[in-house]
Amino acid sequence: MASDITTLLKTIQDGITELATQSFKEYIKDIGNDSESIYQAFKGDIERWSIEVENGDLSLEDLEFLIKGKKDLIKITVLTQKGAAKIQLDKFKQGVIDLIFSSIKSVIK
Amino acid sequence: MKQKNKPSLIIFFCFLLCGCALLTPTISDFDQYTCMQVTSLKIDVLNVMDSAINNYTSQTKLTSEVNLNLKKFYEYEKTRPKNTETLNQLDILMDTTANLYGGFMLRWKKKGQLGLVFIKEQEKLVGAAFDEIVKLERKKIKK
Repeated sequence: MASDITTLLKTIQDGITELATQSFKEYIKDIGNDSESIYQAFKGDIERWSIEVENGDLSLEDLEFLIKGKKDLIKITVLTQKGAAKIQLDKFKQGVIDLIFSSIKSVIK
Repeated sequence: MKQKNKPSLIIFFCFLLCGCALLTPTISDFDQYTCMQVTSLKIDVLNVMDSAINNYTSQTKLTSEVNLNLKKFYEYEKTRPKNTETLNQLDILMDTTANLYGGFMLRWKKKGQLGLVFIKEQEKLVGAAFDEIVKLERKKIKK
């Protein structure tokens, strides 16, 4: 019996490690892509706004407001990433539950 | 597996289930209504912002209606459990001391009317903020 439980626990442990690697690999890749796109968008906006200020289409006050608005938008994007991390964690937890169920079912059979 | 081992395994199984009970969700599930409302409100809000080329006082009927719908939506989101991120996103979007929709509306009210280029640039930011809220909602687990 002790060896059965040891084997079962080892199966679950290995499964959880594999599940964690798979679950968070994609998330980390998404974070990297999001960070790059935030930087590129910010760079593009600043360049365009500077030209619009030079042309007299935007005032310096407008520019300051837009830059602060961009900062607020980044805060909102960070909240999306924070929420996405929680979602990924919930998916991982569900995966752990499924793994435990299937491992135990295979031992009981 | 021997028959006599089964009770021990069942006890072990129950023990694990208790552990699993602690694995409660950390964020709200996907809500189709939220997605539809955010998409609809985005269009209404951008429409209101377009009107900032005109005098604020001439647009009060339109602005009041959209602001009321935003408040109703915020109240709906407050009723959803574990919805902190979406609520915080809406807080930033609607905050009059911040620089997205709420701040834009206050600026329009103070200045009377706003320049077209500024409006269009601000619309890009506000539109992107709405897109982020939908993006988060769509990532949530569908039950």
